[in-house]
Amino acid sequence: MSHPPTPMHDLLRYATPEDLVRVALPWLRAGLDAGEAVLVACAPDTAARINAGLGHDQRLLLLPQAQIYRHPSDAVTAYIRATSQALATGADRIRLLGEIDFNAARCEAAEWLRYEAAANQALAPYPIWAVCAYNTHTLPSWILTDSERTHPGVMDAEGRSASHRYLQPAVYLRSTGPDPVDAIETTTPVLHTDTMTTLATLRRDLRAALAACGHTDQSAEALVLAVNEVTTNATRHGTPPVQVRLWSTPRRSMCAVTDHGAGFDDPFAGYLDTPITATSGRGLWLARRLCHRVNIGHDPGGGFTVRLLMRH
Amino acid sequence: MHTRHDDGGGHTWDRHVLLLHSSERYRRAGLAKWVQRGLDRHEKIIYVEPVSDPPSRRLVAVLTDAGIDTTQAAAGQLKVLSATEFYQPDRLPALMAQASAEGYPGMRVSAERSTALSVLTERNHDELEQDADELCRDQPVSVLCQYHTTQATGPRLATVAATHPSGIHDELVRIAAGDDALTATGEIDITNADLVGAALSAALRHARGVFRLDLSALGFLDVGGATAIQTASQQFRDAGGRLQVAAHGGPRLVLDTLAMADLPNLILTGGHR
Repeated sequence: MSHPPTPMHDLLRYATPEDLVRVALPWLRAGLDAGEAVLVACAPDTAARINAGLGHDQRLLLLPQAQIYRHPSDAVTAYIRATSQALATGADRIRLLGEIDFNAARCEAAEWLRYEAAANQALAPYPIWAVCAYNTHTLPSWILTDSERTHPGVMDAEGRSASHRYLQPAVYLRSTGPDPVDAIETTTPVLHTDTMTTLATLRRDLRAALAACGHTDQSAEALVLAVNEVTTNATRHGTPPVQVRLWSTPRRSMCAVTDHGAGFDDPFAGYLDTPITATSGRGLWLARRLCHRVNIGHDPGGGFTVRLLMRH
Repeated sequence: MHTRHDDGGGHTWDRHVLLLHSSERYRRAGLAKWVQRGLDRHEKIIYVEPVSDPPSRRLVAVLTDAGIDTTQAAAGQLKVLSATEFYQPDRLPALMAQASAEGYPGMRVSAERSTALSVLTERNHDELEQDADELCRDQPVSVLCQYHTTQATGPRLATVAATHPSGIHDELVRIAAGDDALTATGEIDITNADLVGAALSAALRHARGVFRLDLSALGFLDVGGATAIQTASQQFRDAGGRLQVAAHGGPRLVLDTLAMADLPNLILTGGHR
């Protein structure tokens, strides 16, 4: 297959592992033959089959799926890092076959799809041809539909074609919200502050409320961290009063932080990888790393709310 | 002579220390603890008070509110001076000599920054601060400077942090310096990340080799605080110095998620709780 001229982020749908290998092998082999860096980040079983199919070519780079797909932003970071390393060794392009393990990460599946959309932006500066494998037998249909919306290209046995359902990342990210009200919000809040005073007081109150509900482990502290970041942003960029509500059940806690400012309208907020040399804008990125879900939006009655959902 | 580590915790109020406050409540509480430390050590305690202060702000009132029984103090142990009386050339060494002659093992003196500025220029007071630094290092004297947070912003913060290497008391965090080490206890967030950065910068200015940032007693660290640590240590690490950061729990989670260990010459120790 020749290099497609458009951004290289393709969807590969497969029904059986054999299908996946059948479609991917020629593409990977072509990359090796062309002197490109070739990476595979799939489940161990698939990786073994591909490795065997390529004759255990020493040039093939196998990345541990468990490590890369711990969180969507880990995957993006790993892709970018691998690309930089490959470029440094003299390759001018890289091909990467990856498969998300939807069960592995702390965040919900819908977040993965949002990161797929954001990846089109994040990977744009790099000469990377990423192919993402999606299993049509095991994955729910909504994930398969959204996988078409988030990948510009589709690769199958016949070759490569454009995805007719592809949406520009900003459009896709805007189209996935606002989410319906989570059932947890219909319970009585365990903390309700209409006028936040200090961040230190808020953290103390959050910890106490979570502890009273039996949450004292790292997931509780992670939620306090995320809420602190979001509330710091609200106090710096938003308009007072800042209201905080916390709902908690044995399995999940949600915190909503509302201010009365104009909010912001960046669909990529918190999604784009910030390099370790960046020194601003990482609060929301951290919140997305730690939480199961982060929703941001304007409320019908006025106000701007960030909702953070944590699984315990 | 002072030893570096005195009995449990009290040493945080010894030598040249900064009390950085944004509330009267916190200032009064800190001042009371500082005085109590002096009483416990049988030191001569000098307080420089503005003549224009209302009675509720006088040292006597502060101590009474804190439940400190000043009648227990020896006659003359607690002495209040006006700004004009105190800020005279060589006054501090003279007071120290007098205290020694009176049989006190040591002396401590405190004033608010605004009190000093009622008779001194900013520059004169800054110079006095540096002199105090030297005295506190070698002599049995402690100096507590009380600054409101509005008096320690921007470039002034760097100066203030550098002239109080022994320790800084902030409402949320306490910073103490040791040999090639800095300890931060309490919580770091947007209200004091700049302060922590300034203190770390100052401590690293003359550091070489390995420097230890001890966050093991830190209960909270946000992204801004982690960034302040990164920025404040950049020059030191770029020049080959190695920053060892001990942290666990929430602070460690933040440092790990931000991949701080990937920064050149930054080592994380302490592990997860």
